Amino acid sequence: MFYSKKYLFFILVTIMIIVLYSFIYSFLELVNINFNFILGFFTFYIVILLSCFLVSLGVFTIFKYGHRLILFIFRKKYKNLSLKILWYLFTYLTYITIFIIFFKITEY
Amino acid sequence: MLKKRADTNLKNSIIFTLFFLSLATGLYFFRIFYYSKDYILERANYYFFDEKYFFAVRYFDKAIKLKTLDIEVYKDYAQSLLKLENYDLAIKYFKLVVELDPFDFENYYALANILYTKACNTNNRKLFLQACQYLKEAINLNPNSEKLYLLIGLCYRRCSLYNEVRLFYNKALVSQKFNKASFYNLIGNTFRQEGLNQNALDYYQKAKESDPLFFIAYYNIGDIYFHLRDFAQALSWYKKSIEVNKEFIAGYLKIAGIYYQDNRFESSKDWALEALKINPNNPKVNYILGMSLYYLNEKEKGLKYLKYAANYGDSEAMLSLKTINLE
Repeated sequence: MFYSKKYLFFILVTIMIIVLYSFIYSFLELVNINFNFILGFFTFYIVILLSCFLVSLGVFTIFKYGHRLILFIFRKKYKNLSLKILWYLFTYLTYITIFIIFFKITEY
Repeated sequence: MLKKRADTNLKNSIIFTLFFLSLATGLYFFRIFYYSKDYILERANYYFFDEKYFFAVRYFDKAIKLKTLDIEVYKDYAQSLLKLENYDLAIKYFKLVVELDPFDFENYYALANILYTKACNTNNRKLFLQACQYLKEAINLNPNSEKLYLLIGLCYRRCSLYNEVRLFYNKALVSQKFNKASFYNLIGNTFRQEGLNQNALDYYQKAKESDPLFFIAYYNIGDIYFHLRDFAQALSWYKKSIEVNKEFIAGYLKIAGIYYQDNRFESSKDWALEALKINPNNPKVNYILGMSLYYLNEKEKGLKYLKYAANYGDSEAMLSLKTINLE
Protein backbone atom coordinates (compact mmCIF):
# COMPACT_ATOMS: atom_id res chain seq x y z
CA MET A 1 0.00 0.00 0.00
CA PHE A 2 1.17 3.49 -0.89
CA TYR A 3 4.37 1.96 -2.21
CA SER A 4 4.78 4.85 -4.62
CA LYS A 5 4.05 7.50 -1.95
CA LYS A 6 5.24 6.12 1.35
CA TYR A 7 4.92 9.43 3.21
CA LEU A 8 1.17 9.34 2.54
CA PHE A 9 0.94 6.04 4.39
CA PHE A 10 2.68 7.49 7.43
CA ILE A 11 0.46 10.59 7.42
CA LEU A 12 -2.69 8.45 7.31
CA VAL A 13 -1.45 6.05 9.97
CA THR A 14 -0.50 8.97 12.25
CA ILE A 15 -4.02 10.41 11.96
CA MET A 16 -5.58 7.00 12.64
CA ILE A 17 -3.40 6.42 15.70
CA ILE A 18 -4.22 9.91 17.06
CA VAL A 19 -7.94 9.07 16.86
CA LEU A 20 -7.35 5.65 18.39
CA TYR A 21 -5.20 7.05 21.16
CA SER A 22 -7.75 9.73 22.05
CA PHE A 23 -10.27 6.93 22.75
CA ILE A 24 -7.78 5.18 25.00
CA TYR A 25 -6.72 8.42 26.67
CA SER A 26 -10.28 9.39 27.60
CA PHE A 27 -10.71 6.01 29.29
CA LEU A 28 -7.39 6.30 31.11
CA GLU A 29 -8.39 9.74 32.37
CA LEU A 30 -11.60 8.25 33.70
CA VAL A 31 -9.74 5.64 35.73
CA ASN A 32 -7.35 8.29 37.01
CA ILE A 33 -4.26 7.22 35.05
CA ASN A 34 -2.88 10.57 34.00
CA PHE A 35 0.11 11.23 31.85
CA ASN A 36 1.18 13.57 29.10
CA PHE A 37 -1.01 13.14 26.00
CA ILE A 38 1.77 13.83 23.49
CA LEU A 39 4.31 11.62 25.24
CA GLY A 40 1.75 8.83 25.56
CA PHE A 41 0.78 9.21 21.92
CA PHE A 42 4.37 8.94 20.70
CA THR A 43 4.98 5.88 22.84
CA PHE A 44 1.81 4.26 21.51
CA TYR A 45 2.71 5.25 17.92
CA ILE A 46 6.23 3.88 18.13
CA VAL A 47 5.12 0.66 19.82
CA ILE A 48 2.53 -0.04 17.12
CA LEU A 49 4.79 0.76 14.17
CA LEU A 50 7.83 -0.96 15.61
CA SER A 51 5.99 -4.13 16.58
CA CYS A 52 4.29 -4.27 13.16
CA PHE A 53 7.62 -3.77 11.43
CA LEU A 54 9.34 -6.47 13.48
CA VAL A 55 6.53 -8.97 12.91
CA SER A 56 6.46 -8.27 9.18
CA LEU A 57 10.25 -8.56 9.06
CA GLY A 58 10.01 -11.94 10.75
CA VAL A 59 7.31 -13.11 8.37
CA PHE A 60 9.29 -11.77 5.43
CA THR A 61 12.42 -13.64 6.56
CA ILE A 62 10.52 -16.91 6.94
CA PHE A 63 8.92 -16.31 3.55
CA LYS A 64 12.30 -15.56 1.98
CA TYR A 65 13.97 -18.74 3.21
CA GLY A 66 10.88 -20.80 2.45
CA HIS A 67 10.96 -19.43 -1.05
CA ARG A 68 14.66 -20.28 -1.38
CA LEU A 69 14.06 -23.82 -0.14
CA ILE A 70 11.24 -24.41 -2.60
CA LEU A 71 13.41 -23.12 -5.46
CA PHE A 72 16.22 -25.37 -4.27
CA ILE A 73 13.97 -28.44 -4.09
CA PHE A 74 12.59 -27.87 -7.56
CA ARG A 75 16.08 -26.95 -8.82
CA LYS A 76 14.94 -23.63 -10.17
CA LYS A 77 17.14 -20.58 -10.58
CA TYR A 78 17.35 -18.43 -7.44
CA LYS A 79 15.43 -15.17 -7.64
CA ASN A 80 15.81 -12.52 -4.94
CA LEU A 81 12.57 -11.43 -3.22
CA SER A 82 11.63 -7.80 -3.65
CA LEU A 83 11.54 -5.51 -0.58
CA LYS A 84 8.16 -4.44 -1.89
CA ILE A 85 6.75 -7.56 -0.20
CA LEU A 86 8.16 -6.44 3.15
CA TRP A 87 6.51 -3.04 2.69
CA TYR A 88 3.18 -4.64 1.82
CA LEU A 89 3.36 -6.91 4.82
CA PHE A 90 4.19 -3.98 7.07
CA THR A 91 1.40 -1.71 5.81
CA TYR A 92 -1.32 -4.35 5.87
CA LEU A 93 -0.26 -5.53 9.29
CA THR A 94 -0.36 -1.94 10.59
CA TYR A 95 -3.91 -1.49 9.26
CA ILE A 96 -4.99 -4.81 10.77
CA THR A 97 -3.43 -3.95 14.16
CA ILE A 98 -5.13 -0.56 14.24
CA PHE A 99 -8.44 -2.18 13.34
CA ILE A 100 -8.12 -4.85 16.03
CA ILE A 101 -7.32 -2.27 18.73
CA PHE A 102 -10.22 -0.10 17.55
CA PHE A 103 -12.50 -3.14 17.58
CA LYS A 104 -11.53 -3.98 21.14
CA ILE A 105 -11.81 -0.49 22.61
CA THR A 106 -15.24 0.19 21.11
CA GLU A 107 -16.53 -3.16 22.34
CA TYR A 108 -18.76 -3.22 25.44
CA MET B 1 5.12 2.97 -17.91
CA LEU B 2 6.61 3.19 -14.42
CA LYS B 3 4.53 6.27 -13.59
CA LYS B 4 1.36 4.51 -14.70
CA ARG B 5 2.11 1.53 -12.42
CA ALA B 6 2.79 3.84 -9.49
CA ASP B 7 -0.50 5.61 -10.03
CA THR B 8 -2.37 2.31 -10.05
CA ASN B 9 -0.78 1.43 -6.75
CA LEU B 10 -1.78 4.78 -5.29
CA LYS B 11 -5.32 4.43 -6.60
CA ASN B 12 -5.70 0.95 -5.10
CA SER B 13 -4.22 2.10 -1.82
CA ILE B 14 -6.64 5.01 -1.56
CA ILE B 15 -9.59 2.72 -2.35
CA PHE B 16 -8.46 0.23 0.28
CA THR B 17 -7.87 2.95 2.88
CA LEU B 18 -11.29 4.47 2.23
CA PHE B 19 -12.87 1.04 2.57
CA PHE B 20 -10.95 0.49 5.81
CA LEU B 21 -11.98 3.86 7.24
CA SER B 22 -15.63 3.43 6.34
CA LEU B 23 -15.59 -0.05 7.90
CA ALA B 24 -14.19 1.35 11.15
CA THR B 25 -16.65 4.30 11.18
CA GLY B 26 -19.56 1.98 10.42
CA LEU B 27 -18.52 -0.32 13.22
CA TYR B 28 -18.28 2.62 15.63
CA PHE B 29 -21.77 3.93 14.85
CA PHE B 30 -23.25 0.44 14.77
CA ARG B 31 -21.93 -0.14 18.26
CA ILE B 32 -23.34 3.17 19.54
CA PHE B 33 -26.84 2.06 18.58
CA TYR B 34 -26.38 -1.66 19.08
CA TYR B 35 -25.84 -1.80 22.85
CA SER B 36 -28.98 -1.28 24.88
CA LYS B 37 -29.05 0.77 28.09
CA ASP B 38 -30.10 -2.32 30.08
CA TYR B 39 -27.19 -4.37 28.80
CA ILE B 40 -24.68 -1.64 29.67
CA LEU B 41 -26.17 -1.21 33.16
CA GLU B 42 -26.14 -4.94 33.75
CA ARG B 43 -22.43 -5.09 32.88
CA ALA B 44 -21.69 -2.00 34.99
CA ASN B 45 -23.44 -3.47 38.03
CA TYR B 46 -21.74 -6.82 37.50
CA TYR B 47 -18.30 -5.21 37.61
CA PHE B 48 -19.27 -2.85 40.43
CA PHE B 49 -20.45 -5.63 42.74
CA ASP B 50 -17.45 -7.72 41.74
CA GLU B 51 -15.30 -4.75 42.90
CA LYS B 52 -13.73 -4.45 39.43
CA TYR B 53 -14.03 -0.67 39.44
CA PHE B 54 -11.60 -0.24 36.55
CA PHE B 55 -14.13 -1.85 34.21
CA ALA B 56 -17.22 -0.64 36.06
CA VAL B 57 -16.49 3.04 35.38
CA ARG B 58 -16.30 2.39 31.65
CA TYR B 59 -19.81 0.92 31.64
CA PHE B 60 -21.24 3.54 33.99
CA ASP B 61 -19.76 6.25 31.78
CA LYS B 62 -21.40 4.66 28.75
CA ALA B 63 -24.72 4.29 30.63
CA ILE B 64 -24.69 7.99 31.52
CA LYS B 65 -23.88 8.87 27.91
CA LEU B 66 -26.97 6.87 26.99
CA LYS B 67 -28.90 9.34 29.19
CA THR B 68 -29.56 7.10 32.18
CA LEU B 69 -31.16 9.25 34.89
CA ASP B 70 -31.05 6.84 37.79
CA ILE B 71 -29.73 8.18 41.09
CA GLU B 72 -28.36 4.75 42.05
CA VAL B 73 -26.30 4.68 38.85
CA TYR B 74 -24.77 8.06 39.71
CA LYS B 75 -24.04 6.87 43.24
CA ASP B 76 -22.38 3.64 42.12
CA TYR B 77 -20.46 5.48 39.41
CA ALA B 78 -19.21 8.03 41.92
CA GLN B 79 -18.25 5.25 44.35
CA SER B 80 -16.29 3.48 41.59
CA LEU B 81 -14.54 6.73 40.68
CA LEU B 82 -13.71 7.24 44.33
CA LYS B 83 -12.16 3.77 44.54
CA LEU B 84 -9.98 4.72 41.57
CA GLU B 85 -9.12 8.00 43.33
CA ASN B 86 -10.65 10.12 40.59
CA TYR B 87 -11.91 12.59 43.18
CA ASP B 88 -12.92 15.41 40.85
CA LEU B 89 -15.36 13.31 38.84
CA ALA B 90 -16.58 11.52 41.98
CA ILE B 91 -17.36 14.90 43.56
CA LYS B 92 -19.13 16.03 40.38
CA TYR B 93 -21.43 12.99 40.41
CA PHE B 94 -22.10 13.11 44.14
CA LYS B 95 -23.08 16.76 43.79
CA LEU B 96 -25.52 15.60 41.14
CA VAL B 97 -26.85 12.95 43.52
CA VAL B 98 -27.33 15.61 46.22
CA GLU B 99 -29.19 17.80 43.74
CA LEU B 100 -31.44 14.92 42.67
CA ASP B 101 -32.12 13.71 46.21
CA PRO B 102 -31.61 16.60 48.67
CA PHE B 103 -33.44 14.89 51.56
CA ASP B 104 -31.11 11.96 52.17
CA PHE B 105 -28.41 12.84 54.69
CA GLU B 106 -26.28 9.90 53.51
CA ASN B 107 -25.76 11.65 50.17
CA TYR B 108 -24.40 14.74 51.90
CA TYR B 109 -22.21 12.57 54.08
CA ALA B 110 -20.82 10.68 51.08
CA LEU B 111 -20.05 13.94 49.29
CA ALA B 112 -18.44 15.46 52.38
CA ASN B 113 -16.40 12.30 52.84
CA ILE B 114 -14.96 12.56 49.32
CA LEU B 115 -14.25 16.26 49.81
CA TYR B 116 -12.51 15.43 53.07
CA THR B 117 -10.39 12.69 51.44
CA LYS B 118 -9.40 15.00 48.60
CA ALA B 119 -8.71 17.83 51.03
CA CYS B 120 -6.44 15.56 53.08
CA ASN B 121 -4.51 14.55 49.96
CA THR B 122 -4.12 18.09 48.71
CA ASN B 123 -4.11 19.86 52.10
CA ASN B 124 -6.77 22.22 50.79
CA ARG B 125 -8.50 24.29 53.50
CA LYS B 126 -11.28 25.37 51.12
CA LEU B 127 -12.29 21.78 50.54
CA PHE B 128 -12.41 21.05 54.26
CA LEU B 129 -14.75 24.01 54.73
CA GLN B 130 -16.84 22.90 51.77
CA ALA B 131 -17.15 19.46 53.38
CA CYS B 132 -18.29 21.14 56.60
CA GLN B 133 -21.08 22.94 54.74
CA TYR B 134 -22.43 19.65 53.39
CA LEU B 135 -22.11 18.04 56.80
CA LYS B 136 -24.09 20.87 58.39
CA GLU B 137 -26.87 20.16 55.88
CA ALA B 138 -26.66 16.47 56.77
CA ILE B 139 -26.87 17.21 60.51
CA ASN B 140 -29.93 19.38 59.91
CA LEU B 141 -31.56 16.44 58.14
CA ASN B 142 -30.49 13.87 60.71
CA PRO B 143 -29.05 15.08 64.03
CA ASN B 144 -28.80 11.49 65.31
CA SER B 145 -25.96 10.20 63.20
CA GLU B 146 -22.67 9.99 65.08
CA LYS B 147 -20.48 9.76 61.97
CA LEU B 148 -21.61 13.23 60.87
CA TYR B 149 -20.34 14.83 64.09
CA LEU B 150 -17.11 12.88 63.93
CA LEU B 151 -16.39 13.92 60.34
CA ILE B 152 -17.31 17.57 60.82
CA GLY B 153 -15.03 17.57 63.86
CA LEU B 154 -12.19 16.19 61.80
CA CYS B 155 -12.75 18.77 59.05
CA TYR B 156 -12.77 21.73 61.43
CA ARG B 157 -9.74 20.35 63.29
CA ARG B 158 -7.81 20.26 60.02
CA CYS B 159 -8.68 23.96 59.63
CA SER B 160 -7.64 24.61 63.26
CA LEU B 161 -11.14 25.95 64.00
CA TYR B 162 -11.30 24.37 67.44
CA ASN B 163 -14.27 26.38 68.69
CA GLU B 164 -16.34 25.06 65.80
CA VAL B 165 -15.16 21.52 66.55
CA ARG B 166 -16.22 21.85 70.17
CA LEU B 167 -19.55 23.36 69.16
CA PHE B 168 -20.45 20.27 67.15
CA TYR B 169 -19.07 17.82 69.72
CA ASN B 170 -21.16 19.59 72.37
CA LYS B 171 -24.21 19.32 70.09
CA ALA B 172 -23.54 15.60 69.89
CA LEU B 173 -23.30 15.47 73.69
CA VAL B 174 -26.56 17.38 74.10
CA SER B 175 -28.40 14.91 71.88
CA GLN B 176 -27.61 12.21 74.51
CA LYS B 177 -27.60 9.55 71.79
CA PHE B 178 -23.92 8.73 71.63
CA ASN B 179 -21.09 7.56 73.84
CA LYS B 180 -20.44 10.60 76.04
CA ALA B 181 -16.96 9.53 77.05
CA SER B 182 -15.85 9.44 73.44
CA PHE B 183 -17.01 13.01 72.77
CA TYR B 184 -15.58 14.35 76.05
CA ASN B 185 -12.31 12.76 75.04
CA LEU B 186 -12.51 14.38 71.59
CA ILE B 187 -13.14 17.78 73.12
CA GLY B 188 -10.15 17.17 75.39
CA ASN B 189 -8.06 16.45 72.30
CA THR B 190 -8.99 19.81 70.78
CA PHE B 191 -7.86 21.62 73.92
CA ARG B 192 -4.63 19.63 73.92
CA GLN B 193 -4.01 20.62 70.30
CA GLU B 194 -4.41 24.23 71.36
CA GLY B 195 -1.95 23.71 74.21
CA LEU B 196 -4.66 24.24 76.88
CA ASN B 197 -3.63 21.31 79.03
CA GLN B 198 -5.77 22.12 82.07
CA ASN B 199 -8.96 22.29 80.00
CA ALA B 200 -7.97 19.10 78.24
CA LEU B 201 -7.39 17.42 81.58
CA ASP B 202 -10.85 18.47 82.77
CA TYR B 203 -12.50 16.90 79.75
CA TYR B 204 -10.48 13.71 79.99
CA GLN B 205 -11.57 13.48 83.62
CA LYS B 206 -15.18 13.96 82.51
CA ALA B 207 -14.71 11.19 79.94
CA LYS B 208 -13.30 8.90 82.61
CA GLU B 209 -16.16 9.70 84.99
CA SER B 210 -18.87 9.12 82.42
CA ASP B 211 -17.36 5.77 81.44
CA PRO B 212 -14.73 4.32 83.81
CA LEU B 213 -13.91 1.67 81.22
CA PHE B 214 -12.92 4.24 78.62
CA PHE B 215 -9.19 3.51 78.79
CA ILE B 216 -8.21 6.11 76.14
CA ALA B 217 -9.05 8.86 78.65
CA TYR B 218 -6.58 7.41 81.19
CA TYR B 219 -3.96 7.17 78.48
CA ASN B 220 -4.56 10.78 77.38
CA ILE B 221 -4.30 12.03 80.97
CA GLY B 222 -1.02 10.14 81.16
CA ASP B 223 0.07 11.88 77.96
CA ILE B 224 -0.64 15.31 79.43
CA TYR B 225 1.45 14.55 82.53
CA PHE B 226 4.16 13.15 80.25
CA HIS B 227 4.07 16.42 78.32
CA LEU B 228 4.34 18.33 81.62
CA ARG B 229 7.34 16.09 82.47
CA ASP B 230 5.57 14.70 85.56
CA PHE B 231 6.66 11.15 84.79
CA ALA B 232 5.48 9.62 88.08
CA GLN B 233 1.90 10.78 87.42
CA ALA B 234 2.16 9.81 83.76
CA LEU B 235 3.25 6.30 84.71
CA SER B 236 0.39 5.86 87.14
CA TRP B 237 -2.19 6.93 84.50
CA TYR B 238 -0.66 4.74 81.81
CA LYS B 239 -0.79 1.84 84.25
CA LYS B 240 -4.46 2.61 84.92
CA SER B 241 -5.20 2.48 81.19
CA ILE B 242 -3.61 -0.99 81.07
CA GLU B 243 -5.60 -2.11 84.09
CA VAL B 244 -8.77 -1.30 82.18
CA ASN B 245 -7.60 -2.82 78.92
CA LYS B 246 -4.88 -5.42 79.24
CA GLU B 247 -4.39 -5.57 75.45
CA PHE B 248 -3.69 -1.83 75.09
CA ILE B 249 -0.15 -1.96 73.68
CA ALA B 250 0.34 1.84 73.52
CA GLY B 251 0.13 1.97 77.32
CA TYR B 252 2.84 -0.66 77.76
CA LEU B 253 4.98 1.10 75.19
CA LYS B 254 4.74 4.46 76.95
CA ILE B 255 5.64 2.91 80.31
CA ALA B 256 8.60 1.05 78.81
CA GLY B 257 9.64 4.31 77.10
CA ILE B 258 9.58 6.30 80.35
CA TYR B 259 11.67 3.68 82.18
CA TYR B 260 14.09 3.51 79.25
CA GLN B 261 14.51 7.31 79.22
CA ASP B 262 15.11 7.17 82.97
CA ASN B 263 17.88 4.55 82.39
CA ARG B 264 15.90 1.96 84.36
CA PHE B 265 16.61 -0.71 81.78
CA GLU B 266 15.48 -3.70 83.84
CA SER B 267 11.97 -2.21 84.17
CA SER B 268 11.83 -1.03 80.57
CA LYS B 269 12.82 -4.56 79.46
CA ASP B 270 10.03 -6.13 81.55
CA TRP B 271 7.36 -3.75 80.19
CA ALA B 272 8.59 -4.14 76.63
CA LEU B 273 8.41 -7.92 77.03
CA GLU B 274 4.81 -7.54 78.19
CA ALA B 275 4.05 -5.42 75.11
CA LEU B 276 5.77 -7.98 72.91
CA LYS B 277 3.28 -10.60 74.08
CA ILE B 278 0.50 -8.49 72.54
CA ASN B 279 2.27 -7.66 69.28
CA PRO B 280 5.66 -9.25 68.58
CA ASN B 281 6.02 -7.28 65.34
CA ASN B 282 5.75 -3.78 66.79
CA PRO B 283 8.99 -2.02 65.75
CA LYS B 284 8.96 0.46 68.65
CA VAL B 285 8.60 -2.28 71.25
CA ASN B 286 11.43 -4.24 69.61
CA TYR B 287 13.58 -1.12 69.62
CA ILE B 288 13.08 -0.39 73.34
CA LEU B 289 13.58 -4.04 74.24
CA GLY B 290 16.69 -4.26 72.06
CA MET B 291 18.26 -1.14 73.56
CA SER B 292 17.37 -2.14 77.14
CA LEU B 293 18.97 -5.54 76.65
CA TYR B 294 21.99 -3.91 75.03
CA TYR B 295 22.54 -1.67 78.06
CA LEU B 296 21.93 -4.64 80.39
CA ASN B 297 24.97 -6.25 78.72
CA GLU B 298 22.89 -8.78 76.84
CA LYS B 299 24.28 -7.38 73.60
CA GLU B 300 23.66 -10.39 71.32
CA LYS B 301 20.01 -10.59 72.29
CA GLY B 302 19.61 -6.82 72.14
CA LEU B 303 21.05 -6.62 68.64
CA LYS B 304 18.63 -9.30 67.48
CA TYR B 305 15.64 -7.17 68.56
CA LEU B 306 17.21 -4.00 67.17
CA LYS B 307 17.72 -5.63 63.77
CA TYR B 308 14.13 -6.81 63.88
CA ALA B 309 12.93 -3.26 64.63
CA ALA B 310 15.13 -1.84 61.86
CA ASN B 311 13.72 -4.39 59.39
CA TYR B 312 10.24 -3.15 60.28
CA GLY B 313 11.32 0.39 59.45
CA ASP B 314 12.06 1.92 62.86
CA SER B 315 14.39 4.85 62.14
CA GLU B 316 15.72 5.03 65.72
CA ALA B 317 16.67 1.36 65.56
CA MET B 318 18.49 1.95 62.26
CA LEU B 319 20.40 4.87 63.76
CA SER B 320 21.28 2.92 66.91
CA LEU B 321 22.53 -0.04 64.88
CA LYS B 322 24.70 2.30 62.84
CA THR B 323 26.17 3.84 66.02
CA ILE B 324 26.77 0.43 67.59
CA ASN B 325 28.53 -0.77 64.43
CA LEU B 326 30.75 2.32 64.45
CA GLU B 327 31.70 1.64 68.07
